[in-house]
Amino acid sequence: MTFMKGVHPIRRTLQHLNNKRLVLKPFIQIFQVQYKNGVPSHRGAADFAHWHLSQLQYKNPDVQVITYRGLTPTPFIRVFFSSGRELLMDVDRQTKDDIYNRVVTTLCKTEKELEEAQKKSEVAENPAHFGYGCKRHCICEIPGQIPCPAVIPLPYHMRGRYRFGFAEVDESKFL
Amino acid sequence: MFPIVESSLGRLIILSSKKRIRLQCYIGYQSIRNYKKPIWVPIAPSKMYKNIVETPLPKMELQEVTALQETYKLYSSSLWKFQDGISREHEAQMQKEAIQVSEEVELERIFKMNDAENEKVKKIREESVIKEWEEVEAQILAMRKGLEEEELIRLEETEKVIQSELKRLEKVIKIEDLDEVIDKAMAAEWDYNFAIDKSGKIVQGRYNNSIGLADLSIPKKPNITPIQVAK
Repeated sequence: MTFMKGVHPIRRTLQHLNNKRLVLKPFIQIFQVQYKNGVPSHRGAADFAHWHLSQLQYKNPDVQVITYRGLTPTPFIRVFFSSGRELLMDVDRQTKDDIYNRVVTTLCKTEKELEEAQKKSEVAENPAHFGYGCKRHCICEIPGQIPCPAVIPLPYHMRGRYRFGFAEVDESKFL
Repeated sequence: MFPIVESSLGRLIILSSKKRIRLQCYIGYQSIRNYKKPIWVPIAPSKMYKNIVETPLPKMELQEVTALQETYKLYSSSLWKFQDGISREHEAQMQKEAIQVSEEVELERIFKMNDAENEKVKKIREESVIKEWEEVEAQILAMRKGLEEEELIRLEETEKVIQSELKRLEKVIKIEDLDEVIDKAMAAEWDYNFAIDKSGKIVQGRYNNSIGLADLSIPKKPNITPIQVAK
């Protein structure tokens, strides 16, 4: 099978990549992971890089994700912000899950923020919507609907005052 | 029932509830000046067949009024657009500032949280480093103990070997006793002359005189026979 490439090819599946919780805050520009292979205390960082970096990059295509191997005695994650500041996270002797939870609580958007973003995108992206904030303000602008009564008056049988007998049609206009 | 305050613009109806201990005041406003009938109420009969004749304005006046209205519309719409642009810019600026403020607040929170987590990790690392060194130390001590024990065993075995060799070497001829041993050996002759023929006669000694039928059992000790002088 041509798609079963590399170690643990499940990392290449959309199901694995669509992990919603790894959406970083908008002011994060660079995400750097540094660790050493073969050292027991670096195992957690190595596993995190192996399993979760692909998800991180998929969910944050505008963020630069880089890894450095073999240059450090202790593993760490360094994050650079758009304001120029940087954050150093010491992940020595931590497991993959500990590192994941820490990244999610510290650097990622909360569930509330994700839901709001999703709602906004739904409202903006759905072309069938009309109203405030949408491309069409009123249903009368949608093709196939009746024109705006402010521009073209409704026919008599659609007006309540004539339907319910509060007024009578002036037939002389049609003569 | 409820007190009403009337004015040229409208009337105020002050509603109050006596049921509750605390007096609550509701104010409803009805406009008299620009009153319009609801859409579902029919036209009054007096207004039904009213013939409204519109007197057309003179041409010059119409042109003047149109020009004035157009100018007014132009000015008011340009003012509105200008105001709109300003308010949009202001809003964008406010949003940017809000985002910046919220970003700074968020960054401070993140740094605080991160520092606390880093401290925890540092503590864990220090404890585990001490533990690892203790384990290494214990391993080294255990290895050393094992080597010492092996050395003791080896020494004991060596001692045993030495002792057995020394015991074995007790019977060895020493240099000091060499002359004595030679004299002894010279004095004591070993007689290899011994034979038993088919009839059972033993022939031994230098002079080979048969002894006759003798006991054929092999003697336990070798016979160191002195030299027998021929009779």
